[in-house]
Amino acid sequence: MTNLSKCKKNKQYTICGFDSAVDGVLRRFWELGFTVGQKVKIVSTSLSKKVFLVQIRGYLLSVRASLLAKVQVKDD
Amino acid sequence: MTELLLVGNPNSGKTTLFNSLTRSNEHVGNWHGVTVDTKAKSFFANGEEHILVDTPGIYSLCPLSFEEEVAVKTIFSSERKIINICDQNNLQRNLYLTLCLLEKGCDVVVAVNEIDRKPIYKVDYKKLSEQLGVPVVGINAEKKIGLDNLKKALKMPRKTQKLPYFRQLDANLLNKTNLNKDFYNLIKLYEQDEKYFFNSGRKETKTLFENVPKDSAQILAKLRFDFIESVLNECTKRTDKVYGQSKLDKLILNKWLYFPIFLSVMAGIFYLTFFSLGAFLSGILESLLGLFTNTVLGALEGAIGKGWFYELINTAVFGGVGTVLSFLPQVVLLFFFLSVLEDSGYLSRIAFIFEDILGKIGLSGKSVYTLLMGFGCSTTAIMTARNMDDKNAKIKTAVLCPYMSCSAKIPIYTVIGGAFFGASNILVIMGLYFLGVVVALAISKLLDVTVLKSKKQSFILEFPPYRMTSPKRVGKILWKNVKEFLIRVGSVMIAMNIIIWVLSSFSFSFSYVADSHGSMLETIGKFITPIFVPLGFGNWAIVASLVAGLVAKEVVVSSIAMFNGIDAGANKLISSSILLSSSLVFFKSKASVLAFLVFCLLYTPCVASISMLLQEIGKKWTIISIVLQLVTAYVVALIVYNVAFAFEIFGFIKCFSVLMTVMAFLVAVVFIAKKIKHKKLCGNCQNCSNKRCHKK
Repeated sequence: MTNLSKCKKNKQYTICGFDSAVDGVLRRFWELGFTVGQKVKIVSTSLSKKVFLVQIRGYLLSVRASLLAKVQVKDD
Repeated sequence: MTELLLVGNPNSGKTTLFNSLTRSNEHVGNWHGVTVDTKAKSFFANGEEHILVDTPGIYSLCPLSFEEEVAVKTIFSSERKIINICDQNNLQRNLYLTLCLLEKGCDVVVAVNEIDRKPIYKVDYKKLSEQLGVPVVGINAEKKIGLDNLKKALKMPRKTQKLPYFRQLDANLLNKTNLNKDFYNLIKLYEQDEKYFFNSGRKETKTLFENVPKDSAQILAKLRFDFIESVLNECTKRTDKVYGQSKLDKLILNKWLYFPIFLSVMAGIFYLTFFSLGAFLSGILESLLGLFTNTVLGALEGAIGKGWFYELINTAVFGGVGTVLSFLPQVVLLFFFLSVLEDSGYLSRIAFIFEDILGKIGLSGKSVYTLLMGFGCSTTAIMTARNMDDKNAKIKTAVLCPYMSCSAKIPIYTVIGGAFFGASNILVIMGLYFLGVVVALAISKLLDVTVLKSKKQSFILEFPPYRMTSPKRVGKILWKNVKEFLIRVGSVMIAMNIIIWVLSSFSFSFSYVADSHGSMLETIGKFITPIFVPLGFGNWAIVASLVAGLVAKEVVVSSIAMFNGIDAGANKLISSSILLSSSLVFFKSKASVLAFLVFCLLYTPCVASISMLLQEIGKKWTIISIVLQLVTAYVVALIVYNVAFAFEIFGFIKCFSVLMTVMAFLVAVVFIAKKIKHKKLCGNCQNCSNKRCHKK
């Protein structure tokens, strides 16, 4: 198990939990479809790897890596 | 007359539908957060007049940013029928908001916006309507397809729907609180939405969630998405396409290419706007204006002769305004290119690219939209700062907007810069735009480390698909901007030019002075002029035009044209030669021209922008922003003047060597300071975040 900010590019992972108390960011993640059991993939990263492009539920989101550290995933 | 609310996810087509139903021309774009406030307009449906209220985009009824709060407050403020617009290509996520509205008991009509010919979801609307228990219609908001069906659906009676997953919620949680037994309170307990209960009048909210499972909000979100998936499996056929994914991104988001591509795009826009296409169109308009004004003035001279009234019309109305009016094609072109950028979906890619840099100075990639819009008009750009999540970041973004060179400054750069720099003016203009961005970023960093420290922005931004601007929209953009420009020129500028002409043509004893000497404006201007002597343009006429520019930046050029007697018939070549030999616009050297242009770029914005700042960030920060801009403009113009003057006096090679030495020294100082700071941190490794730290 790892967090989404440490995942490899173009490899599919499954969300297995969240590493934080309820806050605005986590709430936003849930609204956007980051729920337990959901498949997720890192499609691209910025030059310094501080921003990730994530594919989830058939669409793309750019997210700051520090926020993705709250999402725990396991290798498929 | 009934009121209808237009609600949906960001970038789902709400404002497009609003424009189609109400025949409006409100701003739309392929970017999350274009609409930041509510707008209302009436339209007729089923023989009845309705008021349609457009709201900013939201993902749920738990707002995170300022503009989301506006939308959610509007939904909660009273019970109205809601048109919930969903993007067909991203139906799964869009229906999440639909469920939130149904849980609240809202009277909803779902309008599925079929934007693309080959959508990701093919929807069976009848089945979807049965599953959700509310009317569902397919529309194309831009092409106005399906709007009659939507209007018919608005007539359908309200249904209350109990969603299947309600059974899985623990209703006992409500009994453990002293909340009333309204089912929606249970939903909000599950969401742990403290703000909702606080806004409902409950002062103490922390104890409310004592008995609620920690992961309740997550459980509820999963129940909603599971239900949506089951509904979509039943009612839709899905393709494998990913919303927002494009082969073009392999090139545009390539780590080594994205900066060069961005710079090329911006350089291309500026080149087309200011030079090739813009200059060509501007030249044609200038000739037409010359022809028109010469005819009118000829007729006027024949009728009343060359008296003071003729002079007023010639210099204040046709001369001053005509100089600015010939820039109409360039201003409109800039707005057009910005709109194409906005529609293309490239802005979200730019936000992704710049998040790294902007994050370091207390902003977020989301600020890119506001700052780029600042190149068009600061007034509208300031308002878009609302899509920041944090108050300090919102203030900071709004304060930075006026540093971006707005379209109103185009005539200043082109007329003044063109007269003194000739063909090299393209470099001067590019340099000014670049300087504006650099100063804005420096000010942001300064504010971030001093008085406006903002928490880390929650940069989560949707990637929209690439889209072309439709010819219809191109027409609308051009018409809107031409209209706005002509209104501004025809009202504010003519009025200001007449006031300036009167002040510069009459003395305090109201006697007519033909060459401005002894005029009221000269007397007043001479009081402030000494302040600008160190900047190289200590001339009362320039200072007076800068003061007049507070009303609208275009007035700077029109008043300079007026002071120099550039009449209506003068084209750019004649204007340039008059300015070069002018005694009133007296620049000591090219260095003082540069300093003047820099001052114009950075000093206080126009009155409209100031009033928008007042509305968005309040009195205190507006005053701070104005003072900060004046000081910045003065200091930067002073530095530019002295450096450029040194280059003129001592020659390029000597000055360049000195400049490089100073810069190398500064870089060395910063490097050593960082090393010392790092060493200090290493003494206490708890705070050290350096991965290369020797103790790690």
